[in-house]
Order: sequence, then C-alpha cells, then structure tokens
Amino acid sequence: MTDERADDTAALPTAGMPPDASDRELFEARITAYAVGQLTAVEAAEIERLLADPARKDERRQVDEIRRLAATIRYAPDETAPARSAALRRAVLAAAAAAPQTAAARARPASRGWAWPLFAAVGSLAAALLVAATIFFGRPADRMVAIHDEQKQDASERETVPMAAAAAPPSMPDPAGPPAPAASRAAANADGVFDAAKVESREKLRGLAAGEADTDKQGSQLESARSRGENLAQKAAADKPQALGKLLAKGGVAEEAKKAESLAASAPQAKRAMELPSERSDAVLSEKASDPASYADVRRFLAAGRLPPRDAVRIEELVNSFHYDYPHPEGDAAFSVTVDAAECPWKPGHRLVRIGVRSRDTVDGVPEALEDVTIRVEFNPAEVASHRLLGSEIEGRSLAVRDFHTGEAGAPRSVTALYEITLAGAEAGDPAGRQELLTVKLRWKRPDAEESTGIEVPLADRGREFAEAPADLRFAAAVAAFGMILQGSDQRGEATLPLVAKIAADAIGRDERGHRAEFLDLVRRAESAR
Amino acid sequence: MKVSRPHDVGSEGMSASSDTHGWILEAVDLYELPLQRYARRLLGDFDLAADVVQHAFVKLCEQSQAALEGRVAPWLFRVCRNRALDHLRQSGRETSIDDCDRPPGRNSVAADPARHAEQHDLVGRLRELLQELPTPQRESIDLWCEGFTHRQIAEITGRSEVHVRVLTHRGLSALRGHPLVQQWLTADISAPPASARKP
Repeated sequence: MTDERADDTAALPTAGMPPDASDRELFEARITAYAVGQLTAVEAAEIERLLADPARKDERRQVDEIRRLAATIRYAPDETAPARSAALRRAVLAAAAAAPQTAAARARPASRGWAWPLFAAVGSLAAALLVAATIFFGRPADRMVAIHDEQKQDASERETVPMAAAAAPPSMPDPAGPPAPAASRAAANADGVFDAAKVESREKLRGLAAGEADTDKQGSQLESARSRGENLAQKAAADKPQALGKLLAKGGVAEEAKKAESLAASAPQAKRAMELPSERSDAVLSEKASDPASYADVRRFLAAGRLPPRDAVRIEELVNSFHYDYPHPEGDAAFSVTVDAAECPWKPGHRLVRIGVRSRDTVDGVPEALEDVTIRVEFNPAEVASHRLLGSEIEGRSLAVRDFHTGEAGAPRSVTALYEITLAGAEAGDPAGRQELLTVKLRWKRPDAEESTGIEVPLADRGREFAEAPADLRFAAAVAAFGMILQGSDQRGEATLPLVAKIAADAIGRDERGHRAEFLDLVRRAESAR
Repeated sequence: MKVSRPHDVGSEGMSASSDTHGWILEAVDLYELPLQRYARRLLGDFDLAADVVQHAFVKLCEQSQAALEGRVAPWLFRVCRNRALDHLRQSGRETSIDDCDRPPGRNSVAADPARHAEQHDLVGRLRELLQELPTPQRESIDLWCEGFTHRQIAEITGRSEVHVRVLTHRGLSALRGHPLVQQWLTADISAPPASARKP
C-alpha cells in the first residue's frame, strides 16, 4: 500500500521514500532513473562506472530496454488528442484583465518569461540578421587578417569537394506554402540574400507573435511573408551579388551592406556545404551580436501547432539557447575553451565536434570587456577531409557567435559551435594513432594590456561513440538536428524527430530549470504540427 | 477561429498591456494541451478536465510572473492536480489516485499476448497498458512524458523525488515485464514500432 493519502498529497510534499521499497528496488530504480535521464551528473557517472563492469549484463540490459520503452511511450501519439479551447482563452483574458495590478505590473514581457539568462540582452533586428561570421580557408595559421577584404582574393584560390549527398529522409511538410525550388534557394543563400529576405519575414513573425492566438490568420500572413521572402531571395539570386548590398540597405542595415557585398563577391564557392582544406586550413570565426529570438519563434509556432517557417530557424541560435556546463576560465585567462568530439549521430562515419567557450564571471555578473576577441579553428588536413559548421549550411560562413565579451550586463557568457567533420581516408584507421583533428585558438586583449593573449586547445579525437559523449554535447547535437529538420536541410542525413527526441531525452541531465524538458515537448509538438 | 482580444497589437511589438498578459497567454499556448491530457487521465472525463484546466489558468492570472519564474509549468500542473483531487473527493473516488501501488513482480499489467500479437499495434497497445498501471505509477510516467523532471514531478505531486523515481521504475518495469513488450524488446531492434506511428 501507499504511504500517503489523497488529502495529504493535495497539500503537502511528503518527505522520504516509499516504505515498501527494498534496497534492491531502490538500486534498480536508480538505474531506471539513469535510463530516463533523471540522475545528476555525479549519480550518472556512478551508474556509468557500474555499467562498465562486464558482470553487470542485466543492468545494461535494463538501461537499454527501459530507454527504448520509455522513449516509445513518451512519443506515442495521444489516444484522443485534446483540442484547444477558445472558451479557455476568453476566460483567461477576462481573469487576467481583472487580476490585481500588482501581479501584472511585476510581469515582464512574454518572451522574457521564458528566456534564458544568457538572452537578457537581445540584439537589434539588424544585428540579428546580419549574421555574423566569416569563415574561410587555406589561410596561413599564424596570420590574423582583415577578413572581408582578403576573402575576395581567396575566393578563386579555394578548392572544394562537395560532400557526398547523403540519402535524405522524406522531408518535413513544408511549414507554410510551397517550398522554394531547391536550386534557387541555395543560390539565394549563397549570395547571402536570404538574410535580407529574413528581415521581412521576421518582422512579420514578430507582428504575428504579438497578435497571437489566431492561427488561421497567422497561417495566411505567414505564407505571404514567406512567399515575399522567397521572391526576394529568388530575385537576388538572379541578380548580381551587389544586389545584396542594396537589399540589406533597404532592410535597415546599411552599415553592414558594404561588408555583405564583399561577402557576396565570394558567392561562387559559398554554395558548398562542406569544404576541403588545402594544407592547413583555418576557420576564422568573428563575432557579432545575433538575435536569440529564433528559439522563441520556434517555440511560439510549435506552441500554436504550426511548424516555424524555415528561415526563422537558425541552428546556431537554437544550440545557444541552452545552458551547457563549461568550466570556469583558469587562472588569469579570460575564457575557457572546451573541445570534444564524438560520432555524428545523423551521419554515421562523420565526426561531430563541439567547441564551447565560456567567459569569466565577474562579481557583478557583467562579463569582462575585452578587445579583439578572435576564435580560430585550424583543421589538420592530414586528418580532416572536410568540415561544416552547423548553422552555416547556407554557405559555410554564417556562424553567429554572439559577442559575449562586450562587457554589457546580461551579455551571454558562453557560446557553443558544432562542426561536422569527415575524416581523411576511409574511417581513418585506428583512432588512437591519429594526430589532432583541429586546434581552437582563442585570442583576446584586455583594454589596458599592451598585447593580446590567448589559449590554444587541440582536439585529439579518440573515436568516441556518440552515446559515450558528454550529455551536453549530445543535447547540443539533438538541438542542431532538430534545427536541420525544421529547416528541411539537405544536411540532416538520418536525423529524424524520434531520433532527436531520443538523444535529447537521454541527455536531459539535471535540467534544473526545465529548459531541456521543454525542448523535448517542442520536439513532440513538431511531430504533430502542420 | 477568431479569438477576441481586449486590445490591438501592432507589428512593432507587444503593447504595454499585452506585455502584462503575454506570459499568461504564452503559458496557455504551451500548457493547455498537456494539462488537458493530464487532467483527463486523472479524471477520466473531458468536461471535468476542461474545468480543472481553466481553474488552473485563472489562478495563474492572480500570480506574479516573477514569483513563478522558471516554474510556471509545475505550478500549473500542481494546481490542476489539486483541483482534480477535489473533484475526485467530492465524487467519492478520492482514493483512486493513490490507492494502489505495488512493486513490480506482482505484475499489474495483464498479460495477454495472444490478443495483441501484431507488432505494429504495440505503440497503441502500450498506451493501453499504461492506463492499466496503478494511478501513481501512471501519473509519474505521464508527467515524465510531458517533459517534467523527477524533481518537478515531486513538486507537482507532493511526493519525494525518490518516491517518484520508484513509482516510475515500478511502472516501467511492469510494462517491460509484459510478454508483448518483451517480445518487442528482444525482437529486431532495427524496426522500432515508434517509426510506424508518424502520420
């Protein structure tokens, strides 16, 4: 029998454990909790040590079976799906209007209520869209350069090998309206014009988000916003690259237009999904503020039972919408850098690399103001055949590493980037014999310092399976895969919503604020969204 | 379906009055359906469930957003649960949510493999099997399925986290021990039944 009665549970937490649970059952319950991702990191590590014991066959089987069973139950369709109720909304609005002003006055804007602390500082729309970063290749490892200018020169020198097109699973239903023809979409992306198209769609989205609750209206407005965006993109694809600058200027981001034109000049090579490094290749990631609104948009659409428009989905923003535990910077360093790798869950044979950077916490919670912060990823061509920054399918240059070093209150303190890598040589032999795959070089200058300082972190990939990777890496991978699915990306490989759900459920970890659990809910919503 | 709103919102962003209610409407968007599912499973009745859910959201309107920061969902589910218990108590069924909870071994899920031998029926059948679990076990699993952590489930149900862990374990173990489920678990894992259910 149970230790509690309904009238107790209705009001008070009941301390302690069920009286009829034996030690054995409590132990098995811990294993089950591990299987469904409910242990703390410390507890989970204990269980993992235990499971590594060859004699623990039954426990390993328990974990495997409970996981599969729980995931199947979790993502099984509801037997009789409930419908949304207009009466409920009316009642809630009436109650909200009648509520004491004190409660309302203290309430913050809706998006904030659900936003992570990292997102306290939301960038402007222009900053959001003008994406960020430039990546280029074939550059001497020890030289910092004026990115945009030199990129032009380099465009013709670059050598590339397209990735083998992975067998793509059936795509998600198009979120709103017919999809843009793949070719024109890719071309538009290559020109960077898609960002300009986004401006309009996103402004529309915000209006819609504010309008709320009227999903039919949302649908049609969204469709027209989207189709206008596509028209822009298609038009720009047909035009000269310079059109980009004009479009961007029109979008209210004139200060970025010049840079964008120079980027557009490098469009031809930009259509590739992955690039071949020649000699020792670098990716330089320069930071710009980006808008974290992508996750909020995705959430809002899915909450309304709709798939978000593809261009509202930005993988790097989604990935960076979650908290990952990176170590504090050591000693006097301004940053810590975490680099690790595992099997790519959606492309067997590929490697997935995570780069996490965390800045120093200060007493008042304001990140340190620094100058000239540069992250550079140098790939070792002896080991890496090609690499792709997730979130930059568009053309390998839109990494939105947010500026987490501006010294502004609320600026994000960490940033995560994921790379998908193919190894040089089939399967590349014994992982233990490999050289480092890449080196992350992070440099910064303190305002009062004469010279910049930095740290370098090489990645020695030991061929780790995906399931063996840290939970944070696995969760970030799930988020990235979710983004690719929502985008209908050609790069999504074997990524499916059930796979995303399984990875995320396994990697939910401690999740004190419930953000990861909420993500799982979104994945499930995506399965029934239209 | 049009929903009237007390104010107009321009495309430049939310108006001030919308800001004050926005978080509640967002909570409705996010949690209406999960709450309805939960309440319906507790009460076995659509209309009662709708009442209970509405009650929870109306109560939410009286709360300060800051005070609930980060735990709106557990709060809503807890209020919903308490209200559902009130209903059960009034109808003389108050023991049904906590009256029956046995450890695994005395399998509470009826084994009837002959009746549902078809593998592809498993997902639907799992939902049925889940309904046959003792309510506290089923409730713990249902809330986990809704995305809550064990800690949050403890908060919602007023149980300890360890208790939630044990309840979840008992429920999942009972299902796992069902011959039909075992048959699936030990069969070819390349064809999980979950893949067949996407519309």
